[in-house]
Amino acid sequence: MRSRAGDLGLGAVFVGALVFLYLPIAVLVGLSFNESGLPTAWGGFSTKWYSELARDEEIKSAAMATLTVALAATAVSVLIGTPLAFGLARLRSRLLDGLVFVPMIIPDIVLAIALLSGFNLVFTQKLGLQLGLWSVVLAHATFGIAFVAIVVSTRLAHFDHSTVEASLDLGANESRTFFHVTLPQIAPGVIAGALIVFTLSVDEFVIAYFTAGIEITLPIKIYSMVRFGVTPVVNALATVVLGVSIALVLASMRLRGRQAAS
Amino acid sequence: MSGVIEIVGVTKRFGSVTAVDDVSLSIAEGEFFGLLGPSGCGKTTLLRMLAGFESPDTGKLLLDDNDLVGMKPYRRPVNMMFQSYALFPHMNVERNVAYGLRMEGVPRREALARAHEALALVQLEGLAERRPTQLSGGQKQRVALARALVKRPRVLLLDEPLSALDRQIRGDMQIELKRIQHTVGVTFIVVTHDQEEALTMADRIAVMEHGKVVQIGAPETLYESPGTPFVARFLGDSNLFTGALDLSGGAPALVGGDARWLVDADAVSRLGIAEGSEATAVVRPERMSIIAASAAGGLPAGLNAVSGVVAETVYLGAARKIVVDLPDRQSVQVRLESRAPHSAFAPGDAVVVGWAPDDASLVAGRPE
Amino acid sequence: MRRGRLRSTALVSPALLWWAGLLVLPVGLVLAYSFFQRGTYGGVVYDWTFDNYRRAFDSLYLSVLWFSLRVAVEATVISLLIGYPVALFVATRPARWRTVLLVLIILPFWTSLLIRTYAWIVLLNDQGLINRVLRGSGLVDEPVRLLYNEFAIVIGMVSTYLPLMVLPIYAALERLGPELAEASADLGANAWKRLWTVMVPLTLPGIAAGCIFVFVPTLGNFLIPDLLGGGRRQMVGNLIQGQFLKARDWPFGATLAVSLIAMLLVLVLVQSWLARRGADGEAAPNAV
Repeated sequence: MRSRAGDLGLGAVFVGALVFLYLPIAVLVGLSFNESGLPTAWGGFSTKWYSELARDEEIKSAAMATLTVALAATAVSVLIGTPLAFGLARLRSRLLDGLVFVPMIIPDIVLAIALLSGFNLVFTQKLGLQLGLWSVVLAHATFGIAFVAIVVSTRLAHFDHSTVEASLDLGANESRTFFHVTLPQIAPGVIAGALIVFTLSVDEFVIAYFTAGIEITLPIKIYSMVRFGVTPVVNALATVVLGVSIALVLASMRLRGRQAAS
Repeated sequence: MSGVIEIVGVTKRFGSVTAVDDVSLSIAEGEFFGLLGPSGCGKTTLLRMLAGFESPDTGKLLLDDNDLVGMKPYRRPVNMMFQSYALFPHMNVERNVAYGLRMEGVPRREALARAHEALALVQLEGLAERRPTQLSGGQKQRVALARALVKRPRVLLLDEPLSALDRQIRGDMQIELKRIQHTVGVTFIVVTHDQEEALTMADRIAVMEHGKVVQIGAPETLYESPGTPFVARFLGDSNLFTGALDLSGGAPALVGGDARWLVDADAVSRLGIAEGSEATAVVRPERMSIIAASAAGGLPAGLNAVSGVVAETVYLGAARKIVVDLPDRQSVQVRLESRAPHSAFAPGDAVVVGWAPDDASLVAGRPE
Repeated sequence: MRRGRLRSTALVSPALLWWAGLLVLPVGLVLAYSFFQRGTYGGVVYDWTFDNYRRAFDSLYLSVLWFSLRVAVEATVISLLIGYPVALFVATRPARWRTVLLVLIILPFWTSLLIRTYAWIVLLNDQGLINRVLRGSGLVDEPVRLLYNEFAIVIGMVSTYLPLMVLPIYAALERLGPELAEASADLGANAWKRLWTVMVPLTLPGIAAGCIFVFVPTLGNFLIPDLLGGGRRQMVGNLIQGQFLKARDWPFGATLAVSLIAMLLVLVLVQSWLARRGADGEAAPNAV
């Protein structure tokens, strides 16, 4: 019989933590439906801010830009990160395994200025190219590769390599073995990793801010709305983005859950 | 004499380790051949070279007089049953079994029909729609077998097929495998470290140690006439009596310490070792005799006899194993049928154990 | 297996080349910049100098550094004080609940940092919910300054990185497994006290990891002090951003970035040295 007081205390802290984490979000969502749009007064339930959101061309083009960047960065990350995971599994080098974590833990401001410096020196000064969405894609892929590699590596740890040998033995050559046996087994891991990178890219502000040149991604737009001109439309926008992120994360978790079960 | 498989002078090194050391073997058509040895002896490497997953450094692997060396696994008429079964988790049973046929280009309907035939052979007809995760170990093994056999290979390689199974199932599966092999007529090559398995299933066994083949023969030959102390110890329980060959008395004997073991003259001349060199007499537990020390008359004349004390008795159901401690710290095992008269001994009893010289097989050297 | 080696190298090469060009070289460039000078119009003049580092030790910048360290420590400590009980709560629930509870805690972390930080602006400002409650209940007459100060920044950090503190501690607690269940099934009020003195040392690696996971992103953070500090309270991250995008003194910004990295490296090295000592300390009793 646990000490009831102790258990209750722990439960209280847990609930408190949940409130602490979700209250700001809840207030934001509530505000997005507030007729008056101001935190001061509740003017009644309204979706007018969402209608205004739908009409805002700047926001829509920023959203398109973000989507484009996220898709491109995800594609690059998967194409480079998946082979990386396979290579790591074969090489089994603790040094390399540790190295993969570096892009993840480096402070985003450091990565941001480093990439800005590098891009500026090579692309802008030497090649005359302006920074834009393409440079954000390069930047996001730099940490995206690490995330994909780590997620796929976890999946590979449970991968039975003898299924590859069995397939070769039964008459399939190397490329047919890859498509019929290897790929189906790692697909859930690859997709989960892709979802994570996509989500991170969509929400990413700091690095994009430094490397986008004059282009605007959605987080950059949100930042300028928050910093310089707050209209209640930003609440509706924030709610939408939150909803999408949460949906993506839950989808990714369900995929990982299913792979764990098999 | 040329068998369906000829392994000629094959050597394989991994770095500084020689896994397979100049091995030559001939395996006949339709044979159930066993590669037996402790882990690290090279048997699995040899099997994998036959399958095509490793390449020998030197030597030839002939199948129907064609050298397989350099041939990719998917081009060889050889199929393998893996120790971990290696079933494809994202396919159900019938698709697993039909996989090899589909890769050959066999049309879907025919492939599935043949897959079902194979499943019937291993007695798993009803499970075609199941997924590997829904199968028991024994069932997975049969699926793996069906999947390998459905392609009608010239040779089927089996890598420790029964090691992952429970004891009770193992015995049944050993007989099953033999039945299937007889039905299908395919040459089976089994790798195992379990001597009981090899003795039960194989027509002929090659015993390997440190990359070399130490002895080849039928199970009975290897058991009754082991060629070296290693083979003697590896196959079945054995009692070993070592000494230097002494021909001075009327009958040849092995002399060691206080002991003088009489040995069979024919065995000595077959062994061809010089007087004074070391040899070991190998006596199986069921050939040992045992009586109470106080029993009248003692053991029959002509037997090598020595006194000892019973250390423990092990009841095996059909038989009883009695471990007797001898002077100079050696201990021997005696195996008696449970029904045998006077089989009741208890730890601490003073006994006399003995063996007849021609019940022993003789090997040169001493056990490691 | 020469073929195997070649294949493995081919598999990892694209990623390694990518990171060589897009990670190692740029960071190296930053390091190099820290030794150069700002040009008249904001470019980089390649004259080798230590001036930037001397400037970095100027009291103005040192105070920003000091503030950053203080905020990071505060955020880490508070996260630990909240995070440990949270992790303990989840770890002592029946197994089927744990995943759900954990997901609840982790979920906010995967949403946009920008949006969550903005949400705190909404909550903490003079007209925000908290002030309205405080004034409405009569506790205060004037709105309390909750925003654009150290308090807001620390709150922002804790609410953002708390999940990162909870995860490793939870993992460490889970590994205790049966002992935890056993101890928590014990009778009496002293059970928790006993739990405390036994549990904490055993989960020390998890605690250390959690502290690192919170301290590192907090120290170098740019966005949270930018939005919640309102420009008045600056941390290292803001300084770096300012130098790069406003003052256009890239060499000096690079110097600050290098200092930040140096601090973090020292921290990580200290932590791993402590972790190894902890492991040795644990091994000793078994050696008896």
